[in-house]
Amino acid sequence: MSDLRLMGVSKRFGGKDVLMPMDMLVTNGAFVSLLGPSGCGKTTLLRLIAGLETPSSGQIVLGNTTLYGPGVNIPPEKRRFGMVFQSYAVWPHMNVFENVEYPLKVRGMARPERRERVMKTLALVHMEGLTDRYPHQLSGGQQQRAALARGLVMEPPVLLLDEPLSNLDARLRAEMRREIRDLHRSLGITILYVTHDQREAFEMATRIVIINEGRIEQEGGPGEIRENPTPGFVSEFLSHV
Amino acid sequence: MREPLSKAMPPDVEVMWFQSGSENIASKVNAELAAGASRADLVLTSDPFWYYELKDQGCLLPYKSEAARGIPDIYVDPDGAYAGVRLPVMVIGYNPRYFTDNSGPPRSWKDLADPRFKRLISMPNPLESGSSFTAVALLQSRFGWDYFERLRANDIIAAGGNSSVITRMETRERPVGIVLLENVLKAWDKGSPVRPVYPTDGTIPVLSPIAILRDTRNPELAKKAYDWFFSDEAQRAIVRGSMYSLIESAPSPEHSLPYAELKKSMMPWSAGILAQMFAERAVIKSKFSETVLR
Amino acid sequence: MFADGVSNSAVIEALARSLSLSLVVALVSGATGCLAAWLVTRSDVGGSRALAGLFSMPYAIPAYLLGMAWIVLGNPAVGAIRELFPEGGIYGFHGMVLVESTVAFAFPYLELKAGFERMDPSLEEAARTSGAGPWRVFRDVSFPLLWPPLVNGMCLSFLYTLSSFGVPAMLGMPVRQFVLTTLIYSQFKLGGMAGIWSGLRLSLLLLVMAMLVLALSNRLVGLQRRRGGAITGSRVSRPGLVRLSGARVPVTAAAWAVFALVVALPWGALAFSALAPVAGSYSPSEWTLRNLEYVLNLPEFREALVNSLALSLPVATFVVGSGFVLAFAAVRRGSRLAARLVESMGVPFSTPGTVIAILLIFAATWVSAALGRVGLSLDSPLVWIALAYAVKYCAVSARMLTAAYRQVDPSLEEAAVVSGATTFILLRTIWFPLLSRTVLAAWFLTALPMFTELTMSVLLTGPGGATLGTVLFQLQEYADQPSAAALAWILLSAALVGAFFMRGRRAEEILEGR
Repeated sequence: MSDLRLMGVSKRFGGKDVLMPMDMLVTNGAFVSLLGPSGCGKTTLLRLIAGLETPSSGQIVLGNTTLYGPGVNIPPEKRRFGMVFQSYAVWPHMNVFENVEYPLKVRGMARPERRERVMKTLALVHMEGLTDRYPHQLSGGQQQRAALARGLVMEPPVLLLDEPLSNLDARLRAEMRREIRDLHRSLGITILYVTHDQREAFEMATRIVIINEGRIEQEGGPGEIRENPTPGFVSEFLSHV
Repeated sequence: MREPLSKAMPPDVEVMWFQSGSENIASKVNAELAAGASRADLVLTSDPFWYYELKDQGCLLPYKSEAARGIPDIYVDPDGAYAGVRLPVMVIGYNPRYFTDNSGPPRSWKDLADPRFKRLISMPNPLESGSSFTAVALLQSRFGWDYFERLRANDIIAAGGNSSVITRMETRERPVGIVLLENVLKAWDKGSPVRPVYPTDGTIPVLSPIAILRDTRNPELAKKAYDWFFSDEAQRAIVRGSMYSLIESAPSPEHSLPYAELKKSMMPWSAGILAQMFAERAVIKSKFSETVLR
Repeated sequence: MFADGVSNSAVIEALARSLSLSLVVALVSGATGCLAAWLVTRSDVGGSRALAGLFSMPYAIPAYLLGMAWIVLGNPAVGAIRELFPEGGIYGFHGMVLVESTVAFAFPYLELKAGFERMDPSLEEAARTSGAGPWRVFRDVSFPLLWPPLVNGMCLSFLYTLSSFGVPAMLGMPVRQFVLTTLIYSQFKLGGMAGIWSGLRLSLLLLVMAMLVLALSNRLVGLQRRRGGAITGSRVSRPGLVRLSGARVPVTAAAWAVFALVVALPWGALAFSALAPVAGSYSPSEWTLRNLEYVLNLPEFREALVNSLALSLPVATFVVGSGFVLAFAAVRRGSRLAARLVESMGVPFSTPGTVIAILLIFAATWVSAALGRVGLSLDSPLVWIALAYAVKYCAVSARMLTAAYRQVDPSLEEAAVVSGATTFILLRTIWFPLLSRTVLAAWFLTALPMFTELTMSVLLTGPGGATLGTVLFQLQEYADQPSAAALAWILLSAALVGAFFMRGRRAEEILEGR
């Protein structure tokens, strides 16, 4: 297991600086939340890490492997992250089992091991009984869990989540916050979590990076930030509960 | 011709003139007749067989026009159902730029069967073009179907209408063609290199009749217009359009072989011949399909 | 038995050729359309925005113009690029496949492109982050979800080819290869009065084939489980593009080369023919503007231009508008009547233009007779030509829009309904913007063929009914090839400019003049 390091990473798109050059360190096992208002660039940052978009400059390194750097640009399918999308992106033409099994299938794991791993992961999200269901037969919360299971099934070095709870109701969100935090504790997996909801960030993360207009405004543990918010944007942002 | 015809009619009469290919007109009018009645009063096209069929089906109004008296009997229906108003002829066309060395172009229909013209000939498709069908009907009666087998062996292209034969000659895709004289003459006028050959074994007459449809709502006006087509004025316009007039005293089209000369070797035509070919037309079409189009 | 003067075996041979030609073209169009749509929406191929619009331009080229142009290029004796073709040049089955495919390609391409654009990109991204490379993503996620637009597109390609006349007439008949449409045509042309009936009998045969294919394609689409490439609610998501890296230059070059081939070559061929003093003299030193001047100064040209515009633009708009509403009723309101209506439109689409025209002549004759009895008259052929166009081309938009409606998450509509939107407002403010790319594509695929249509116009025209197609026909038959080529070149250039102008835009952008 290893640290994820970003150095001087920036993104320019359509003449606009979406992300200013920034450095970031995600230590192994941390739960880092990227927090900020809509349009601040946090999702873009996540997508750069995932490999879905290409930085305009900088380096991205995982452990000893350069994912992006001079002369190197590893495609997303080879980066081995797990990712959960805001819209869940569970495939409508596959059932729950097939959805969760997919990353293993693609990587050539044999069927019996696949089955075992899928069931184990589904148990983690309490979805073992729903393997035959199709997405249109699932509730929003259930689709969310299926997406989560799919992200976890490969036992990735880092799990990337892009505002996964924003489409759920308040009660489900509270439930899911707890569950994700529990998963983090029990699996010890490194998590990078994008959200605009400070409650989620403060409840779940061990480290928060506050982003605004493509810049990191402040970073630190939840307690630190709450006690000493940087004057200006951060205090403004946090004062709205 | 529309202007002069309009002028020749009474002032409150509107002449609605529709011009298209013979076969398009036939399709349209046939379809209208099949549905009950055609909107046309007069028809004038270059497909004699159509008129035979229309008369046979009782769709024509017989009218023995005084103005048409000068037309030779062989070109007029004995019962007055239709009369030839002009005489397009099928000849051999060629592009002299292809024949620059001493092997000359074909001089007769028979020549076309000679292997030295392999892949050099095209003709309009008789299943699409009335003039071409007439040519095929007369050629097969003179030379039999063997003749067409040899044309097939020469890889003759039988497609499109007369204008595509001209184009193929001009581009030298097929520098020789079986084609209407008027197409060659018109192209010549425009600066095209193509020239006609009047086959020694006889040019092919393609009678172009005019007839009044029986259901016309204006029989008297139709007769008046019919008469006009045989007037000097109309016949002169026809000659300017590069077609032969059937009236003895009329001049021949520019650049063409004078009619008096042409008549000497032209293939024979008569109402009887027309009737016989008409009876055989399905057979002629299918034999042609099997022989040349396979 | 089937027809006068044609043996049964000839009919069967023509039928077999019609079916095989259509099938091969459908497959070729499906594969190339898929590839092109993917390249343009999902990869970083160079100039993808331009290519996206340009790829649909070959559709703007009417079949008979294409045939004319390709003969200039590929005829075995004197074609400019005849060495590139096997024996026989452009004539024959392979030539017909090539030329028909360049046009039929537009159907699957446009459907799939819209499909890719509509599809939530995170579905594919999820596959990529799960470890699937671009090919696997396509195979496991994109292809299954895009199955309906692909099948619909291929079905349209099939039916288009089945009922097409211009290309088989120009490239098949000279080498004795007949298809059903050219056989029907010769029946109408020279079959005498009986020919009308036997032509109609042969058309029934064609119709039966078309209906079988339509039914089959519906089964194929319905067989798949409920698909839903849902649109993500409010977020405008840009898909992460597949990087072609090392392959980028050759792929980009190949894509542009193909485009050039299927558009620039025919356009160039027509240009050379239009500027030639006489057919066959193609050297630039002899170029003359005479033919262009002749055509532009023809009084019929102006009349025809006005008529063609006055016919195609409103009729296309009406047809697409009705299709938009009908598809809504069928998909979103469950109207069986609307669904059946959309289904039935496949019939005229698959019917050769000659047959539609003949049937409309029948109708026109009866209507005339009926009106005559009450002392009225309907003289204008333009009405019947407009009807012919509407009937022939209504299927395209209706089917494309039906597929589009199906691909959108119902919740988007439900949100509006709950907020108080009436059906009219719903259509105008929600569905129209959502589907505007499809609406525009459909309009394009409908208006263009109407603008340059020839087969039906020539039969239905009468005094005052000149259209660009009929004038072209006149020039071809009565003038000479260079004059016809001149008009053809003008038509093609106009069509390409129109297509270019509309590339990649959304309908509302055009309506707002952006």
